[in-house]
Amino acid sequence: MLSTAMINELAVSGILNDETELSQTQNELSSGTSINTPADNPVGAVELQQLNNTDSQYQQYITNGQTANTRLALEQSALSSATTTLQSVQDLVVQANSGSNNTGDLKNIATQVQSLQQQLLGIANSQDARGEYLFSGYAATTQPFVVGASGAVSYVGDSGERSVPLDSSTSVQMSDPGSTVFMNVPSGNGTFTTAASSSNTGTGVIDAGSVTNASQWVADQYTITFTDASDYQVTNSAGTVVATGTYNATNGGDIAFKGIEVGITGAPVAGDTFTVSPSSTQSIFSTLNKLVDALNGAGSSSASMAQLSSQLNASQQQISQGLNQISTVTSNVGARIDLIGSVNTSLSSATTTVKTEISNLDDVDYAQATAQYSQQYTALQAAEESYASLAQLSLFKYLS
Amino acid sequence: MGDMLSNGLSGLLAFQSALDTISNNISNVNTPGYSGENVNLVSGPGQASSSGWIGNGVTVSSVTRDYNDFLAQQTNGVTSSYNQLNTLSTLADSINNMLGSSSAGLSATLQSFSQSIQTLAASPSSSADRQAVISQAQTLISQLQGYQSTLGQLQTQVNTQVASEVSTITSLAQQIASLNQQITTAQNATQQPPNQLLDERDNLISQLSQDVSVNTVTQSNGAINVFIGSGQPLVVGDNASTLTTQPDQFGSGQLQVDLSTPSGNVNITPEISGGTLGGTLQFSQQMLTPAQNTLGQIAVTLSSLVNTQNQAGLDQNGQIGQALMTVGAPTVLPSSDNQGTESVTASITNLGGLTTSNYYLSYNGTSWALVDTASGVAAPLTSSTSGTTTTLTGAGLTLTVSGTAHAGDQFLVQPTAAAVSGMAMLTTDPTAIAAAGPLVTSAGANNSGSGVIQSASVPDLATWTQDDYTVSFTSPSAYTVTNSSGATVASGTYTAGSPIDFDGMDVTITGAPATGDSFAIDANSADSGDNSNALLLANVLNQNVLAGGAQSINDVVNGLVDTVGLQTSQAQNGTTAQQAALTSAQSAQQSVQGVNLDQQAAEMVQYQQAYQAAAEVIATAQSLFNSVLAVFAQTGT
Repeated sequence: MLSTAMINELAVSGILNDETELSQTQNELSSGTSINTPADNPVGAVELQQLNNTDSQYQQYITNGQTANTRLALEQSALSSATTTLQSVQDLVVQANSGSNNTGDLKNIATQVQSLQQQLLGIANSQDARGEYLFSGYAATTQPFVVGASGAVSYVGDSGERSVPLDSSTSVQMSDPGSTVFMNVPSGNGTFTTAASSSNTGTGVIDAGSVTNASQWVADQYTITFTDASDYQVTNSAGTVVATGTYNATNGGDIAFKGIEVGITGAPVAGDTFTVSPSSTQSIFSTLNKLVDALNGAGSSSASMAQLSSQLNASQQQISQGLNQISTVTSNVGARIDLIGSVNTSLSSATTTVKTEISNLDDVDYAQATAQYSQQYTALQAAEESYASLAQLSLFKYLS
Repeated sequence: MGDMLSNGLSGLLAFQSALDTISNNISNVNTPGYSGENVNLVSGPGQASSSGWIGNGVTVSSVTRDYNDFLAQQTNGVTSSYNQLNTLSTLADSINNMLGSSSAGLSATLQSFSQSIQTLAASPSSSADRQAVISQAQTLISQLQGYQSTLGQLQTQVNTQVASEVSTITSLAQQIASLNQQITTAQNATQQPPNQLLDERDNLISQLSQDVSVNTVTQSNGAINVFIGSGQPLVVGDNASTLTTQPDQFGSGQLQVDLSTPSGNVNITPEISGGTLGGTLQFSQQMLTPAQNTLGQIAVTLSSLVNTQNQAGLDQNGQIGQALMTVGAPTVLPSSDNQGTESVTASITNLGGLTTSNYYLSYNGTSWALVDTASGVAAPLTSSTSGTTTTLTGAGLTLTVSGTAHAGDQFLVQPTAAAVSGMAMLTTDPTAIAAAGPLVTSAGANNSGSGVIQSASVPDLATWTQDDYTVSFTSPSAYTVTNSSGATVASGTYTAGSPIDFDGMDVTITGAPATGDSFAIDANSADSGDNSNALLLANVLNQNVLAGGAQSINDVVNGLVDTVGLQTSQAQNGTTAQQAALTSAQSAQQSVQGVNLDQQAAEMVQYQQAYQAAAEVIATAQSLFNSVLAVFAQTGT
């Protein structure tokens, strides 16, 4: 037997339960998410948290990539300008070496070179949109290249290379210090440099030379002395004779010793000397300063012209080295920009994957929820109607 | 005829009682705790006569109520379980809702803080990015303190609820005791069950079951004894004990529940279970305190890692970084019963051993012990004494005891409970963030060997000279180290990969340097664009330092969400299951005890007819008597 009170209570609590469930489904439909508190799905809530964090982190990585990309693009543009500037200097050197210039012409060329040097200095001291210098290493707020009293340019930045993470395992370097780009350029041909003595009275011109057999080369200061117009000897820094030979201008005048070969043209006289020294490093600015000095100091005698020619050969070699150096850095920068691009692409697809997982976990399946809502609504309606009719039944109604 | 009259009269009286009882049932159909009453009719003893035994009508022997003790006790038991889970579920939902959805929760805020540092790492000189880091830190502290405040309010709510429950229980106990007396007196006087009083007492016991789990034992004299907890007497006969609350012996802000006994008040808090009181206490112990301590643990760990990392780098002014934030220190509360004169302070010295538990620190006369308050498990404790100071190490803490301890002295140690409320930024100066590492290294421009600097560090920044050094190779196997003034500070034989130490610094070079090669190890300058320390600072959330090096801050936050979610949903599911069980138990009970109007209507018709019939019998007896009188009237003179 069910007591009358119990009958009512069971019916009412049934209706209240149906109402609660219907309300919860309605809440899901309106919020669009199924996990609103941890209790809705404890394991899912933790997973959702981690997915959201991963998604945020990916956005951060993409932002890092964009910041680095902007910087590297600026650097690339600066390096391109620097290359153009140096190529213009090379053209001037060729012009100066043509042999048809007087001292006035040479002084003009020197002035043009100086103006190109100023341009290069400006490029080396470029800043990004925030005012940070591109080529000063870590010392971002310090101008990296300063001109001293004597006209010499020195580097006052440091060698720091800042990098940012592109993803959890890849970082990218977003700057190159000025020391790497403009200062530490190998001199000569990388192994040795050549020079003609300023006291030479002949018209011999020495070129940059090349290495024929690196294993035979012994780094030392060598002097090529012409004992007469067609004979020479090579001594090392201790004075020991390491080679002698005959000079023949018509077949290129190659002088070979210790695994290297240098070429002399023109007509040296007895007593003229040429030096071959081991390479060290020389900054591009220093090279340009030397070039300007050589052009300004050239005399009109044939010996002076020969001297100038040797110097111009060395300058040309040095500028090539500088261009090589810049070219190496430029391709590095290009590779880094490509890296950012490819990491960005994979991050974009990773982000899509994460967002899909979040959606699968959290989003309400509208088809299912609407069907459920409709079902629960019908159940509630039925409960209410049946209770209304049940409450009418009583034996007392039929007793008069 | 006399028999007919008295038989009819007896029927009339009996059926009147029955109708009275039915009317009482109908009137009480909706009264909670009412048991349907029935009249028990007994036919009168027969009278012997020569023609046989003639019956003597009907009497009402008793009015009893429909009552089943087993079903009542079963329902009370399920009521206690249901109320306990329902209370737990409602309170747990507060914490559950506080943690809320993951997009705005604690994990998201921590992630934003870490990301603001990562943004700074891309441009360390940007004051806007530095300010953003400070702001994010302040937002994080705000959120943690907001949570702590919500939990603090829950603690107040718990205390209020416990006090209110205890007072209700005491009042119900007194009423039950008073009814015990009334029932035994009534029963002695009339030898009939005092149904209404019995119903009232059962109702009170049922209400009591909502508040706490109880056991009842019926005595032979009709009194019911009530026991709570693990057998402590609440009502014995006419006497009721009193339950009171008072602040615990440590003044921690939590309440303890005391039972009055002939020998004084006894703390029965651990024994109580079931009902709203049991659910509230369970919530406080198993959910509220651990949640507060977990938030504290997160605050302590974050502050410690951020400070340590910041102090390993250089700020924007080129100075060694300082601590950026602070948190509240561990609290040690003495018991009010302590007789010794010692004082104890605590500090957190080992993050790997830091837990979310509170501890009892007690002295037994010779040594100290540290015991988890919830599980009762002892934590390993090492002790060393010098003079009147004893240093204890355990559970990630270092405890310093100074003074004289007395056997039996006890302290409550709460390592992380005060951490969040005391959390604050020590500086809001954006330049204070140490984004740069201390050193910048470079190889000499003219180096011809293959040597490279693998690493250079300053293990103890406090002794750092902040000078610039050069490592020069006089031969491929010998080096000298000179400082910026040219003085030689170290020299030695070079082994690739072996650390070269000088002036508190540590440098490792690998490869094969040539004669004349040199390496510069310089101090970073102010406004450095070096971001190496910032990159490390951004990663503190993932550093595994807790749980002996197995868990990071992110792991702990995930664990908190997981635990709260599970406990809440388990409580919710339990409540639903218990509700079904309760409905079932109540139905079973009601099927015996309840009143069904249709049944009462049918019985009313039945007794109404019987009453009319009995009245007819009396009328017939009267007319028969009138006939006899008419005979005498005719013959008389």
